[in-house]
Amino acid sequence: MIAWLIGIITLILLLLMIWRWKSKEARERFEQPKFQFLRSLGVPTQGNQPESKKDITQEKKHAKRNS
Amino acid sequence: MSDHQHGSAPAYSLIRAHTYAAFAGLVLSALFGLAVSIKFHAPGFLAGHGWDTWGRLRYDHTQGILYAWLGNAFIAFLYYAAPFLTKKSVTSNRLGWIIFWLWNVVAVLGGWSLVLAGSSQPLEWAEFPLLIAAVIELCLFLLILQFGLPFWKCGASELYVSGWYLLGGLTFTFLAYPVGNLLPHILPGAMGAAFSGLWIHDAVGVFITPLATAIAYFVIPAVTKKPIYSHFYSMIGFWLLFLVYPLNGIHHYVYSSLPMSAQHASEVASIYQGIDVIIVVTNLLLSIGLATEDSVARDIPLRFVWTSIVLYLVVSIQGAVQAVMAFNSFTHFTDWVIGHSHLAMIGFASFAAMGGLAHLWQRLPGVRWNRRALAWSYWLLVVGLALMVLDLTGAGLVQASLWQQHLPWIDSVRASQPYWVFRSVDGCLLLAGFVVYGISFFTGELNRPAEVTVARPDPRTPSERPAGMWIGTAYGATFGAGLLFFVVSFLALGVYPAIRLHERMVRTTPPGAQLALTPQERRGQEIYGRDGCAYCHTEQVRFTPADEWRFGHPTEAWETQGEFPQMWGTRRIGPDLARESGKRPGDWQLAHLYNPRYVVPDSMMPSYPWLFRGDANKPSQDALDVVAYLNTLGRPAMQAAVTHGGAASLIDARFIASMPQSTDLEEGRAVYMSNCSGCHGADGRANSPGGRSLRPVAFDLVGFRLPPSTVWQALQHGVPGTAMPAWNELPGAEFKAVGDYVLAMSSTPELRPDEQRAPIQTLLLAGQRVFDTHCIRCHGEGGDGDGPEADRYLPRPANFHEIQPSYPGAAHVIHDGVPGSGMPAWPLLTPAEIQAVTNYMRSLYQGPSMPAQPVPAAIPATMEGMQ
Repeated sequence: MIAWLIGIITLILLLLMIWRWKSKEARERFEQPKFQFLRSLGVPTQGNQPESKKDITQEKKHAKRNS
Repeated sequence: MSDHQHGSAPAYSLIRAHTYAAFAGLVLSALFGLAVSIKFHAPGFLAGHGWDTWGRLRYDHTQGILYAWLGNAFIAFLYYAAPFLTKKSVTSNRLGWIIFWLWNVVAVLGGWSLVLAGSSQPLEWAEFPLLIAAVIELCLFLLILQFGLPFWKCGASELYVSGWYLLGGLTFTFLAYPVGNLLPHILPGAMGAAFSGLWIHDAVGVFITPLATAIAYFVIPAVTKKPIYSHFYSMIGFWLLFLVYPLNGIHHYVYSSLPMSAQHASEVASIYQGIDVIIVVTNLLLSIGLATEDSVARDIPLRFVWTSIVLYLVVSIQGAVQAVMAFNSFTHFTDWVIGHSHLAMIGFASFAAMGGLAHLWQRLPGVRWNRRALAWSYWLLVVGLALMVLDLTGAGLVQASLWQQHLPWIDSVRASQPYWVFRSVDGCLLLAGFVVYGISFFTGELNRPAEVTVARPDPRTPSERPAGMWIGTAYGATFGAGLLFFVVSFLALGVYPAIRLHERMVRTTPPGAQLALTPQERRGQEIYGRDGCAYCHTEQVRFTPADEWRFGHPTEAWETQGEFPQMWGTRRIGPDLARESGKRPGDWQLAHLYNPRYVVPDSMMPSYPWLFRGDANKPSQDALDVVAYLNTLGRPAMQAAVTHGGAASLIDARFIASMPQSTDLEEGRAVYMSNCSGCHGADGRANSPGGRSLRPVAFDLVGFRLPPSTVWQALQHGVPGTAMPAWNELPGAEFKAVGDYVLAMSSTPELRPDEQRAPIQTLLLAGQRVFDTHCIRCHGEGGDGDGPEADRYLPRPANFHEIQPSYPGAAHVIHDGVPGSGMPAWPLLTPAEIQAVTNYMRSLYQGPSMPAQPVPAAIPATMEGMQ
């Protein structure tokens, strides 16, 4: 029973990850709250750039830096 | 609280109030902990009253850390963070003050006071009495109202991960709290333990961890001014935490009688939890790494948070490894686990809370903060914690190793002493760190009075289209699924094992087994619970070879049906008591309870003198009740004739007796002083308080000569009817050494001519007349201890062919009797008559009766050092 539960959890999370990987919109939407939070703190973000290029961004820049 | 013109402002007064309460809670809880620690190596420290006994202070230490310190710190942070996360005010300031007073005055101060007064429950992380537990549950509900509504209004798709953690922490704690507090009172023994295990872990997993993680996710972007690395992976970590953590609970009871499938499940879930922590920590550390490089060094609150994140990884990996059954069989119940819990509660949770409080304090208007003091507190705490964890980890390894070696239990206590002293030193460092941390909030620069304002909500950037219904629905559905999953975990790890256990109990309970406790035993159980006995003495023999060897047959589920609540325990400082019934006579238990050093010289167990009327022989009803309860532990199994003899003997006493008597008595003296002097006295004359309080009183080793065979038999098997236990756990070399020392102690010289009251032959005849008149009914006509009334007594009357009294020893026994045995006082016998009868008894002595045995071909493995 517990094995099933752990298996289901893993499956759901994997599906979420695949969804995010396949969908650009999902990627953006999942990351939006962190920019909104920064603005709540009074930190200007560069989210007005198309595709939030510099925001989502942290990940991509990091990936580029390491590639 | 009113909304600020451009958004919402935090509730400063409530933040300040909870922060001050958190400081007070931290310092007081640490003081409780330090007192508890000192008592390990100085059991006389703060002793003598019920309120300051080890168990009650220990309860207040852990409950204080949980509610007075972390609870207040987290609530203070919630008041600061919620407006930033939701862009809305909390529900009501008035409600906030109601929560504040309920939490601090009723729950914390009330709980502490009731515990010290003797009202508590012996359930780990749920020690406050049920009344207080109800108040805390009410507070949790009010906190959900206070903070949950703004979060709800905010909308799922907009919510930053810190908000999720804060919301999840409050909601799941509200659900989990009654599990550990209430159900063990309703469900007996093993069934209750399954639920206790859930709460033990949920207290850390669904209360402390999410709130500490929320602080990390809040402080990092606030300091670095950069978004976190990945919000998506932060949410993956969030869901894994809440979905997997509740499945961990039973790993506190592996190798127990709980269903093995549930134990294995908790083991797998614990490892899975480690994977989740790796995801969370990687995300957090990358978030810091992406920011300006010196932000951790520059910003001290962030430094606290950074340390918390690193230690979160360390403690979680450690926890996952500890849950692996092979590892668990070695380290469980040792100080290793205490090191682990301090690493979690200080290194992870408290560092996060301190980082969060320091962060918000620097942004509060009109308060002081001192950067230098904060930096000092950081280093004091880092050094103190590192030393404490290393110390306790080392102590745990030593204890585990000694337990595996089949050495006497007290050896592990002796070996732990230096570690425990060092822990108190570490504790002082930590306390100093906490005090300096508090000082940093009251000294230094004054913040400008300008208020912190949450920026006006949005406008959204063109690229940020309003989140569609789909993502909000997905988040909402996931949260709903999380709640559902919590219920499922409750079913899987609580209800399912309980049903299985119930079936097994019905099937395996022997007919007529006495499971219910009498009212007296029940009272004893309550006293045992309220004074924290279960926090040093487990009541579960595990299915491990080491446990079975030392304590006997493993505890089966059916035996525990009378335990409300269960007191299985998670730490062994003293030995397990699950098989205590019949092991020790009541007088030994009473003497031990009055002052453990009376009968176990190196014991560090607290004394319980308030259960007596000034003397070990004047127990109050409470003391008798406790002893009555102790005699129920293992009673059902004993009645069912389940084999449980305790430690199997590795000693071949006959072989040892055949070896030549040692002339070097120093080692024997050392063993004697460590193990025997409590009852028999340092000089062997049994005039110690412990020896005199026993019934029968302890044997005078100097005043009577015994043949070696009797000494070896007594050492190997104990003496029935007395408090003399078997010492067959002693290593062979020590066993031999102490036996030789005892044999060498006896001093029964002949009378000098000037001491004789008559010629020897006259004394002999007169002595025989006295003996025939007063003694033969018990000691027999031939003085061999088999008179017509001898069978009435245990211990049996002395056989003077095998025991030779000295003149002073016999005079004392004849004049005063032997309290607690069949030997009465003969105060009317004159000194001449006593001398005469002693002379007669001595004439019967035949000396050693057991001839030396042939040396076996193979020397037993435990005889190292004796060849």
